[in-house]
Amino acid sequence: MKQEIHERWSQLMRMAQEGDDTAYASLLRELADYITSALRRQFGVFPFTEDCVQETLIAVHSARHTYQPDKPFKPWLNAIIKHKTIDLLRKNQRHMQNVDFDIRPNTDIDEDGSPPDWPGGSDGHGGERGIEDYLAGAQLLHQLEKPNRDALVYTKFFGFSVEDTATKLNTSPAAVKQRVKRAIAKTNRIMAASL
Amino acid sequence: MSDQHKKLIDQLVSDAAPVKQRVLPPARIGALWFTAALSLSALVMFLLQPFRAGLLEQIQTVPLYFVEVASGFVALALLGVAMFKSAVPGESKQAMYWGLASFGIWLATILSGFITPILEPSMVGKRAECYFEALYYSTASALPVIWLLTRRYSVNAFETAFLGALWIAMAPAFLMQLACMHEPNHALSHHLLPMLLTALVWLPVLYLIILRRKRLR
Repeated sequence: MKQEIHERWSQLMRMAQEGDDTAYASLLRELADYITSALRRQFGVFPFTEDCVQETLIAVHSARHTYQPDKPFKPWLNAIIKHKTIDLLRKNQRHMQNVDFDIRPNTDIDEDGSPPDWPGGSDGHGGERGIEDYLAGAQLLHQLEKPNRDALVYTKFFGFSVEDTATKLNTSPAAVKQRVKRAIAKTNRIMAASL
Repeated sequence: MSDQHKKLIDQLVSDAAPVKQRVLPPARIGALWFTAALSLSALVMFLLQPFRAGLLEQIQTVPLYFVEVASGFVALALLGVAMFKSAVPGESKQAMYWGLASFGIWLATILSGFITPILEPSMVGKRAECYFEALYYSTASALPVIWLLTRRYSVNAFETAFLGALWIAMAPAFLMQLACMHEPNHALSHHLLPMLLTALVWLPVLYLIILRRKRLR
């Protein structure tokens, strides 16, 4: 079944390269659904995954002239998905480090130490239970070591600054940066093996 | 599918022009590049001053020198393919690993001359400007490499830049080891040092150009 889908995408891409807009639109729609479900399975439902889908579609568009129709479609697509995911994680890190926590709306840490809008976070169930609830089904994140995973989720997926994350995790900002780096490196390895 | 995705897809489809020319498969363009660039450099080098006398005989009769030449030749061929493979998503890395291994053998063989000289040290074939020749040839081959690589889509800009810079720097050094005098100190200071310098210069240049080009797409 999967093999058939990839052959179909390969054919659609070949037609798109020749200028068939209908085939290209079908291909991008099917890819958007595939990438969304693949990333949600790995990372859960976050705005990050939606951004990733968009970035990946743009990259597919930019790289479409490099696809060789006689080669399998899957490795070509998966390389782009992995690249854009890791790229976005790294980019966000640089961005977040420059953002002043005080000027960002709706990101205050609640009294119980959990970010707002977390399931179980602000309703008295406690932050830790909240994050586990929120990450249910995120297969890849569960493969990361907990300290690294929490640092990654706080900074990248919820948009907290390094300092705020350090406060929440009772550690130093330098340690948070280190954990995020490790988490991204492991994410890279896991995606290379699983996609 | 979200409205945002639908809107993006509509934009991409309206922006899509037919692909006039697919890029050549990386293995083919790599092999073409290797053959053309190396032959042209060798020809220009030969026209300026013939290669070292007795070169063919040395390759045939000195096993370690044969290893040096063969590993350098294989490294350049594989790194040429690997550099183009790394500029296309989803391509295997086998050529890169084997190319780097061959490069390591080539380098180790040259450096082993400090322990036991591979060839009898001599001034035969000495070229007056070999240091600068190596720099010129690197620069000349860098421009087409940049053009060819930026027409592709590298998912790992650093890897592509690294392989590109290594190829650009290594090719003249390899040819100088054939054309110029063969002596460990001379090889280190006049062939390998310019190789290191050019690689260090071209690595960041290629990296930035590939990144910038990717962002502009």
